[in-house]
Amino acid sequence: MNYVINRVIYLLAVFVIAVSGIFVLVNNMPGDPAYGLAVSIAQQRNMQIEQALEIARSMMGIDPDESLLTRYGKFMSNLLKGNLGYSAFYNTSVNDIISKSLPWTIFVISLATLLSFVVGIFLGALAAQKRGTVIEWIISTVSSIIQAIPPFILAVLILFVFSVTLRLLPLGGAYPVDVEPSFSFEFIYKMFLHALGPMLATAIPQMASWTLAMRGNTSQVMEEDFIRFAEIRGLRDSVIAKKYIRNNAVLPLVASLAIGVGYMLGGHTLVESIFNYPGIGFYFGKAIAVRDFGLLTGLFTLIVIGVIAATFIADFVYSLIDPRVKLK
Amino acid sequence: MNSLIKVENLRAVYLVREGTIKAADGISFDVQENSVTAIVGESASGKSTIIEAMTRTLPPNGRLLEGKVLYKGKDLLALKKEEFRRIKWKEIALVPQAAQQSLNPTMKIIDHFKDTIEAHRINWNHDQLIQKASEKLEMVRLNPDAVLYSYPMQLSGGMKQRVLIALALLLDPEVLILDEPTSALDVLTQAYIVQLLKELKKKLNITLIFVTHDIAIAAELADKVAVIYAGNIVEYNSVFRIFKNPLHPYTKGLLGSIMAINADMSKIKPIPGAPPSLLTPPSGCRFHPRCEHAMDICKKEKPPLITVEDGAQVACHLYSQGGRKDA
Ligand SMILES: Nc1ncnc2c1ncn2[C@@H]1O[C@H](COP(=O)(O)OP(=O)(O)OP(=O)(O)O)[C@@H](O)[C@H]1O
Ligand code: SF4
Ligand SMILES: [Mg+2]
Repeated sequence: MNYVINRVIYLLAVFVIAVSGIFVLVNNMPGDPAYGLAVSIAQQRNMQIEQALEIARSMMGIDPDESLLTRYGKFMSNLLKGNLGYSAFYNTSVNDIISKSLPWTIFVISLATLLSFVVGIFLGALAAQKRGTVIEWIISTVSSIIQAIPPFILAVLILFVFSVTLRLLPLGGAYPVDVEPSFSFEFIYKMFLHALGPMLATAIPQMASWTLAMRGNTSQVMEEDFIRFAEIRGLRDSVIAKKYIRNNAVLPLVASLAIGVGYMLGGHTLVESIFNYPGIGFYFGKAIAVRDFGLLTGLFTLIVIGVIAATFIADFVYSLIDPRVKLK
Repeated sequence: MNSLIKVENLRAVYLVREGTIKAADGISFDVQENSVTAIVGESASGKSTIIEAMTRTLPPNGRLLEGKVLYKGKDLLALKKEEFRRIKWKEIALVPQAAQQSLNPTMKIIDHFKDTIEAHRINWNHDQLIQKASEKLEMVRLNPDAVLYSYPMQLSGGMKQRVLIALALLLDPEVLILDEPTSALDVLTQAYIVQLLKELKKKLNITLIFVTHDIAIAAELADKVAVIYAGNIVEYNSVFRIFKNPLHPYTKGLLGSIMAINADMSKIKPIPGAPPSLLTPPSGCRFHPRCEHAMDICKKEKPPLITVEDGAQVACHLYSQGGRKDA
């Protein structure tokens, strides 16, 4: 239990530092954070930019006379209340945007995590156990190449081949515009179809990483003395492969699962933009493009929370399954 | 007396980039039923190789070139894989050298016992398993209630070594082979394990073969001692004879350098030179570059292990008449 408390304190500290960091960064960016919104207001309402700036500031809750420290206090207290700020571009609260977009990202990332991990573990273990054969060579070589491909390039490729040329996959969105969301088979099928492109673009490079990591861990574990002793005791190869090799090789990967998810989230931002998939990444991309600092800060905070939560869960799961950690 | 195991001309090598390491070069010896045999030699002399070749547990780059291991008349090395699997552990159990990492770190001790009986298709129910495992753990003076549900990392080195011995005893084998059962342990734990093995030898009808580089431990436990030098048995005799009247120049040197510990320091006579490379071992008698009695023939011909007076066995040209090859 002590271990859990330690981790909670540690992760809280990471959270505060990361979020404060982004606050300082955004508030020291050249230019007025309200400027972008002010320009569009000025154009729409045909008014002076000074006036528009004031309106923009009040919409975003910015008081130029406030010190940075007061603003920081406000920002943090809002955060504690669960208020992630205001999007000038969409003219709505960041929480609103998140509640619309987060489910889609969670949906795709969960599928991508599951697929990449399970397939990666399987292929990696297979490659290690077929050491020196063509199978190992193919798995390793292909994985090394794929691992190096950035997800957004894969996204463009998938979009071009499967959506544009072969027309097997939809062009964008989370579901067809002409279908009402419902729990019908039709809708759910379409939903998966729309998620497939972004999911594969994100999952495939990650799958290759898991494959290589698992291959490395497996061949390392296969050299261990306890494998030899299991063979000496006459244990069957299938038992050794599962209980002795795989279980010991997978453990460290479970620990880095969170890092993998964080990594995927990073690459996934661009992928969603390319597929026009309305998840967090899509809005993140938009926020950067239109310099919507409120949205940017809010979404960044959310991603930090996501990565920290993933780390915590992974730590916890790891401590449950690895006796060596549990006992510390 | 009956010999339970008869090793005949065992030759094994390791393939490495530079060539072959001739680590067991024609090993022959008999092991009597219910006796204790010690295989003694310096580090890298090939002790583990002999054990691994006998039990078909050579590492992947190891190759068995020739030889027989007759156990109750059957050649273990010629048995089909499945047949050998049935004998292994049930009749012949082996605790390998690297005992400290020989337990699965993610499994409790009890599961190691469980996997072992399942591998041999033994139908004990859970209670029977606990009872049997506890019995063996008590035999090595471990508290079963504490140990069975521990993970390996919770046990000390000496405890792990004893768990391995208990695991080896689980199916009541006739032969127990231990490779360096004491070498990774501190002196007190070493003495404790030796004490335990002595007890086991008294309590059980078991044939023990153990490897050690510590000749004092051999003296304490063994009935017979095989002295290994550079992949060969140079002398194979009763422990009494080895210490009282060693025959081979290497054995003499080995004892000379050890006896000195509790004797006059000025009498220390270390063997000059260093053990040879097994990649390119010396011709003839592999000991000849270091031997003060070396003769011409020693460089040309390998001395076979011959039986001299009282059934003592030695591989040295000094003992084959007139320095000629054994008639
Ligand atoms: N897998 C291997 N590949 C190549 N050479 C090996 C291998 N295992 C052992 N050797 C070499 O074979 C020789 C005999 O090794 P072996 O392990 O049998 O010696 P040992 O007498 O058991 O030594 P120790 O007391 O250190 O355990 C040594 O020269 C060693 O370097
Ligand atoms: S055979 Fe020759 S070299 Fe070898 S030990 Fe005997 S005397 Fe020495
Ligand atoms: Mg050894």
